[in-house]
Amino acid sequence: MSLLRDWKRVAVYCVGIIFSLVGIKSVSAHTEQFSDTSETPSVTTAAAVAQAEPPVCQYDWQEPQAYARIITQEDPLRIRATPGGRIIGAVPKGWAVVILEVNNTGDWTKITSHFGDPGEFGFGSAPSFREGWVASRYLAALGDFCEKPSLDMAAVQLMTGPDAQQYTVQEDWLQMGDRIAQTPRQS
Amino acid sequence: MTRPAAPHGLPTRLAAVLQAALQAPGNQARFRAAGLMQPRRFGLERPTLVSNWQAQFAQLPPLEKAAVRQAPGQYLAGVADIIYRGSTSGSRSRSYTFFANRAWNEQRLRSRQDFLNWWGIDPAVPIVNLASRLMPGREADWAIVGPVNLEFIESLRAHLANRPWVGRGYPSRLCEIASLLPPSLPGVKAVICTGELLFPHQRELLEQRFQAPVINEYGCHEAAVRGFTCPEFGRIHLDEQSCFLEIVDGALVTTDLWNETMPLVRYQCGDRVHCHETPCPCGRPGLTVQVLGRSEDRIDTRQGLKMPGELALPTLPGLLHYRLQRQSPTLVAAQIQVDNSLSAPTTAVAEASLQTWVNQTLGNHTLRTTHHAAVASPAVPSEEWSDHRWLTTLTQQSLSGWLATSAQPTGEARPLALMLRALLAPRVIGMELPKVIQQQLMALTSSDAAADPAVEAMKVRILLLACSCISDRSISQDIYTQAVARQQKLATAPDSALQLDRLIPALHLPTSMLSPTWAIAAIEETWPLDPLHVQHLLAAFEVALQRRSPTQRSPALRRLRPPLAVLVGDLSFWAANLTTAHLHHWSELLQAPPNLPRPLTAAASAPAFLASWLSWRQALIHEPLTAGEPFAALTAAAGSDAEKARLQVERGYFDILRHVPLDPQEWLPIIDTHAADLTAAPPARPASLTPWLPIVSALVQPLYQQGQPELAYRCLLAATLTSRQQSAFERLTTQFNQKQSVLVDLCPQLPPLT
Repeated sequence: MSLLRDWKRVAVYCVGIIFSLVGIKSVSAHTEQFSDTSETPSVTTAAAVAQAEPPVCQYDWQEPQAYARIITQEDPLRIRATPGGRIIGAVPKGWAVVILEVNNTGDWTKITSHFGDPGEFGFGSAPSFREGWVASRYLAALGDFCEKPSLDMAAVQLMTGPDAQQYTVQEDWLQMGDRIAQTPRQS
Repeated sequence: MTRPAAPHGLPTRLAAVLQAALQAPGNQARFRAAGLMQPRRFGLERPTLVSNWQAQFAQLPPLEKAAVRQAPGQYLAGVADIIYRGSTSGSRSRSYTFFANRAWNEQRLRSRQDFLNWWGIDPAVPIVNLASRLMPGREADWAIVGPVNLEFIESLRAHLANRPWVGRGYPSRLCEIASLLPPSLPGVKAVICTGELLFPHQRELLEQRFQAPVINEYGCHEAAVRGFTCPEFGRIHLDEQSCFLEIVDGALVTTDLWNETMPLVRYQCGDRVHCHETPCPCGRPGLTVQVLGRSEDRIDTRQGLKMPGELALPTLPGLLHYRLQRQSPTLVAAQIQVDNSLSAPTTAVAEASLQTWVNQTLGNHTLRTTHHAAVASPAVPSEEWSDHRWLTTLTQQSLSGWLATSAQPTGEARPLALMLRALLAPRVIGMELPKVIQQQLMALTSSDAAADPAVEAMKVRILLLACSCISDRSISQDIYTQAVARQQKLATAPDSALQLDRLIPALHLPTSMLSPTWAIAAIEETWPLDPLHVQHLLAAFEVALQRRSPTQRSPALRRLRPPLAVLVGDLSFWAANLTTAHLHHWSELLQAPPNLPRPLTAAASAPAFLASWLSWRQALIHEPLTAGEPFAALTAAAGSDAEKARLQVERGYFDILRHVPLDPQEWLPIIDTHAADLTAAPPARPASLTPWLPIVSALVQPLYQQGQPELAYRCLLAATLTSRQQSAFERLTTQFNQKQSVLVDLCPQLPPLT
């Protein structure tokens, strides 16, 4: 029995690592959705260019859910068992989480992950993530999405093939400035 | 039901669009199967339309959005004269980018203004896009974006001039705003709802709170479908001059009549509409429809499956607005905004009224409510920093890092921080520096000197940056003059950081103001750049290009497009070794004829590659056809990987300027090999294409001609650079202003697929 429990732990840990990679991606990136009447110059993700996309919203687990982003000042945001109750975990700043419920006063919101409650192991990049309650003021509503809203950096490939380089498209102006300011000196 | 072709036959423009569409590889098999394409004897002739195309047109199977999204390049029919870049809504899946030419864009503007004229909205009346991912479309328009909270409302009020304006946005976001509005908001001429279905309770709330008529605007950008409600009967009239419209089994099937660059023929835009049987009594032209929603959306009701647009979500007692999501056969989740202005306790009344409506319409369900305000109006606590910490972050760490927080300095630097935020991360988009900000700027110019010399020096730096963020030349000059006067009163001698900020506006200020500025800088001076300098240089490049038409720039910058990419690419390469000579060079690039106070030369001690680069660029500007010798010297001086990569960029520019065609088979591998060497970024991040963009742009035409439309499309996609305002718009709207579903069923009992 003990052996079986260990294997279960290993399996859960592996799944956690896979989920965490998805989580990491969502933190560092930027999604795009454009209005049908706007003049927003657009970009596309490398995946959109390079691969055929599977249709979304057709599987049970991809149905639209209400998302919010964690907008704390400092990492991480504490997760509690009940509104204002015992601390049971934490979620990193920038993560997109699923809204399950808001208490009557609106001060506390119950959140979970895109994949549901990750259980006692959390995710690799958020080991303390648990389903639970967080202070509502640290959440920014994102709307309903089939897929986890990411901050996927827009990228494009100019060539085909597995070794083709990816390039940023329409890089954020401020981030571009900071990147340029960090340019190492030419010898 | 299928709507037949108009009684007078197919529109005359259709033939031209079909002929153009035939040139796009993605269309050819479909057109051939429908008998629309002349048989080609050898398979090499230019595809042509059959003479009886009118009879065959209806045989053409509709084109699904997913097919275009999967291989958009296959639908490019040409790459000349592309001036418009748009994107699909991506409401339910990823968006894709489409391109169009000048004629299409002119028709778009004409059609839209025609609709606006119905409501008396002339081009001078600004349309203000509110908390939605809608960029301003006309010269007078602007947008205000970001989280909807009391600060948003205050900001909106502060920016409204004392004249009529029109609000526009997604209905759900407009309702969030409406619920926070003060009793009177001046000058609202109308409210335009777009991007989402508009439900009766939303219309009522918007009419009541904005005290203005509500216009329902319908559109599918890539298909050129445009519709506006008429003032008299409130029917949505679709523009049939822009698009040939068919309704096939309730689904809208469209053919854009003006886009010959990326023509979408018999395109299923994904919406379902109900077509009115009789013409609108208002007498205005255009098919009139009721929009029912996305084709995949169904709501299980007591009356069977319905489209969201068939259900009139009514105004309910105690509720301002609400959104419903049927999550299981027994559970409906509701996000509600209770009307707290009523004297009686309203939450229980509101929930009871919603429960009744749900049970009567959708059947008996448990209702789980959440209060909208809890998640929609985050009030992030402002972290307080010391002035010293703020100054250090700005000059030694990361501007984007600070701006991503809500941290503010607590001391006398606080107003500077607010001004810097307004300049670099504006939430008002599209407007020349808003009057409110201009007034704050003027107050800053005449404010008392800060007690801390470091804060006072930063004040001067921010004023100098501000003059590079303003399009209006005279205001810009005025601020510059005052900033320089302030600098001269500094208790301590200005450091090099401030000196450089004083020099940068010379890139866009008139020549008459240059001499004293250039006089302060030794030609051999090497300037250490901090994040604020880089933002200042980027802003100066932008404003210099805005103020000067292409003919006022150097011939080199006229031909290398986008010109901003050349300047930003140069800056990116030389940032750690920036000299006054670079500023001279950029000034010459930006201004024709050059009129500099002294000739450009590299310092004697300059590194070999820099000296060669400056000589080579001089030749490129003045005698590009005979610049072989300086280019050879540059080649000889290139030693490091970065210099060799830079050399390739310069070679590409050289070829473009002397009209040597670029061969994609040669250049695409060169870019892939060398781009990373020019990108100062962590290896895990994608490389930057910025300096290569003029070359990438020049590869579009040959790639298309060589039968590689997908690669041509990717180059088109890549060959653009963002801007300060556009980035701010993207950053805020992506986070706070997406579309929302007001009524959605996650588990409709759909009939089995056959």
